[in-house]
Amino acid sequence: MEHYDLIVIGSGPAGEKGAAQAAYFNKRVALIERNPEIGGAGINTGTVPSKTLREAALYYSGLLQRGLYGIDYSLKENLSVKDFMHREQLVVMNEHAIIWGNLRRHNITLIHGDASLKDAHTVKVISPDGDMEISGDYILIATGSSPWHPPEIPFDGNLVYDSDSILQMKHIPKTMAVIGGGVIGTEYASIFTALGIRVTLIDPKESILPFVDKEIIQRLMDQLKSLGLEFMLGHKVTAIQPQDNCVRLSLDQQATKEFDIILIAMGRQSNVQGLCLEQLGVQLGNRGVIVVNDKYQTSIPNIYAAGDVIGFPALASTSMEQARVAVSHAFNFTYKEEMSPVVPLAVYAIPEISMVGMTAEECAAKQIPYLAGRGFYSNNPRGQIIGDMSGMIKLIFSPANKKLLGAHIIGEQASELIHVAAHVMLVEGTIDTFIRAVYNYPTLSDLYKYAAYDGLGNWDKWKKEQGA
Amino acid sequence: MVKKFDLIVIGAGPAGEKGASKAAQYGKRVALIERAQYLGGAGINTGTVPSKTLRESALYFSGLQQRGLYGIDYSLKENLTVKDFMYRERIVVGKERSMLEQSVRRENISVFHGEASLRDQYTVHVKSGDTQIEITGDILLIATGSSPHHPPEIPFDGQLIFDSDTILNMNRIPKTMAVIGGGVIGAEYASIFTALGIHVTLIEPRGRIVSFVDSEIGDRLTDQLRKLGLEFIFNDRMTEIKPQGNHVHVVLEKGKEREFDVALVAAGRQSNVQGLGLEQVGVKLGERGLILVNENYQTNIPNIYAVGDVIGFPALASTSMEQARAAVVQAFDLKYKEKLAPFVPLAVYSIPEISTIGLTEDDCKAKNIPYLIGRAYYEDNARGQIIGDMSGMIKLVFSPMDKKLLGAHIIGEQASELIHIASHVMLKGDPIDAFIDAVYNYPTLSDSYQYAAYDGLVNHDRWLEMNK
Repeated sequence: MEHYDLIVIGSGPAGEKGAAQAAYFNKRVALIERNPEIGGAGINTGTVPSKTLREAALYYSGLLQRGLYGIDYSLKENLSVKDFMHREQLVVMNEHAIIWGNLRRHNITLIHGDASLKDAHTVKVISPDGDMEISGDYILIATGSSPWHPPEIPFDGNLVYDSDSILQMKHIPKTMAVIGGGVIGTEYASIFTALGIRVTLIDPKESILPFVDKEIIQRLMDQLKSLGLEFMLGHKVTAIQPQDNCVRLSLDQQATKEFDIILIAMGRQSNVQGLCLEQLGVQLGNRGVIVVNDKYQTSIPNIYAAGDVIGFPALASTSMEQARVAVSHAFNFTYKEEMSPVVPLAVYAIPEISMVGMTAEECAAKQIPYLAGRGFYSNNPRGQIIGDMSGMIKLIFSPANKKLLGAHIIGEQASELIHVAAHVMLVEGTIDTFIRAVYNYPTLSDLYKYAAYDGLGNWDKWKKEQGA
Repeated sequence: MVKKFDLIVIGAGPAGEKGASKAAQYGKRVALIERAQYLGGAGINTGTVPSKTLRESALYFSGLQQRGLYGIDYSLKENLTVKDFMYRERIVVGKERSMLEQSVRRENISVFHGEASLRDQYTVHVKSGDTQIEITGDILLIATGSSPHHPPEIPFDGQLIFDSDTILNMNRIPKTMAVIGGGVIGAEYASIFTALGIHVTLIEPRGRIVSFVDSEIGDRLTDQLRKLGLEFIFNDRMTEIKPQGNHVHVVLEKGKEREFDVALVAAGRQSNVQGLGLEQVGVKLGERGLILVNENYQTNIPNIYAVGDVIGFPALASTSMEQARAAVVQAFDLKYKEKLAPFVPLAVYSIPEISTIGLTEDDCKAKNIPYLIGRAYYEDNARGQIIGDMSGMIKLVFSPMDKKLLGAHIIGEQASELIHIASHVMLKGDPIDAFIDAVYNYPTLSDSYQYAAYDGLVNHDRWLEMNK
């Protein structure tokens, strides 16, 4: 039986980075992937394909927003979703090539097949080419997640979709219901709204994206409404009945509504089936989420788990980082001993949202004193040029020392712009840092300066109130 | 009665406005003199903002092609004028003007509209129609900007032969165009018009364009513009230009003769010093009226300062504002209250755009500064792949001894925004490890910083190996 220092199960962003990290420090690493393609959901069914589709939607709505009079444009007729994803195959192939290169460079053994754990150190792999058993000192589980399928919902990939099958949709419908206002539901609802579909977003909660700053959510909802998205919040779907050419939804207030298609985005479940984790005593939570400590160690000390399989936030960037921390902990590398304290999140809605650090609501809940400073795209020449009137940068900082506690952005390029704030937070900088910096003109980044000045204005007021 | 001020600022462009506000914030009595009807200077009224509005159409049009968005039908309309592409210009200009006016009013700055001329080093005469007044100030700040240089032998007519101001009034879209000069303005307009489908020929006496930019980045820009259809004539000089029928006839030093529909002469700019009476007061001027200043932006007359385009390179709005701040800080001895930015980013809004901060590789070679490089390419980045930007690149220049970041150079979409991440790292004096400690959203272009830093670390390992 082949023995490895580390066995990684799953070749998505977490698995790949974890494997590469260990191999870089000369550990023998095996990587097991059940699909013919490496890369996991991020590349093959999730992030990359949906972001390629989004690019078309973003561009199309951006054309409208910019009011580019000199350019004639319209959506073609009889489109399928794939028509908008011209670059998808190129992107996916390129990402595969990059991962292959990374695995080869690090001499990682790639094994295709279905993995299951026989004991805490032995993994059985079943594949068409024959079964085998390998052993490892450490095991990293990075098998990701899949759309959650509540048993009462009749998914058919024709009228009732999940977030994987929606990208196979053959034609662009006229109306659509999206059930679930989390990251995936909000992203798809805005993409399809921007492509001209009448979308209704339904969620039993009173707000979408509960972890995002409330002021940003309000702006996002206003903007999506003005694009044509209809919200039905605080409504529960009680029945879903596919008809001949549409789907009938029953809602808890006895209303029924019909839509051409529906997309169910009610969360994800961890891919743990068949791994035989329960038999070994690995503790699992709701929907198969593997329970881990802050080093990403499960209840069995030599078994680690990282990425979507451990739940929130289930983002590629965070997953990679978790895997590096897990591997560093397992082998006592001094390289990455804990999660970066500063991890940005992005929601690729239209407009996009990105955030790092604490929200105002979080500060209030934890009774941490805070002040805010705001800069608006509509007051910025670049924001004016691109016509993004809903964009905003909001800084949260400590009144005691002006230290930056959080930053929240809505608007074009939010997911890129947030990194300026992330770097300031990494070095525990104050909002004065933004005032000291010089930004290109005209850029959106310049708004950091205006938000910081606005924050200083609020700080002066706060000082006066303290003195009074 | 002569009005007395602490500071008199001549010119209400970005530099003048910033200098005036800064002094006013510290309680100084400030006068701001502007000869035009509106505040804002060339940046808002004829230069930066209008050209960036035009660029947005060009960028969007070429971005559609680059992204291969097959679902969207698009084409340029027929019989277009340049103004048609500048739909948002008036909105943007109006908004910027009103923001300036508000800021000036808020700071209690006295605005005088009229032509200024210096009586002596403290006294400024302002003439507006029939009314004339004299005001005095302890400190004078000259921020009168610049205008396109008009060599006497070139018959500018605003019909066939344009400068960078008049080109925006072109009432048709020609088929062919010569751009004379490959500085910032020449490169920007040549790429805008190429992206709009005009066959542009750029004529530059030197061997390359935008010569202050890192040469590897400059070469990538040249390659990319060639792919877009721009024709370069390097190492040759225009000796004659004249209208011939409805064409422009251009003769080059090496004997070539060419016909173009129109020509844009971007042969540099000259400082707006005429009528200011600077020579009489004894202020030293350089070529094309450049006001000569020391590192504190002080002229040879100690109480007279000059900032912005009127002192020459780099003549960018962001740098001009920072110069004004520095001059005011120096003049009123505010050093302990205001720290100045040691590094200032530059952006060239070509298509693709370029942005740069700190030392270039060429600078390091010329100054014998030891350096190492780390590179990352947009084509190896998921977001770069999604937007189809295959020419983009981030290049880090760092010190081998302590890995401290010395410079960063970016070509590609969003370069002018992305550069600010590097500028914050440089402000802190941090090594390239700062990019590795950070977590970036996925998929973003910013993530390329991490790959460039890893590439730099590999080069650093090699360097350590060689220097054992």
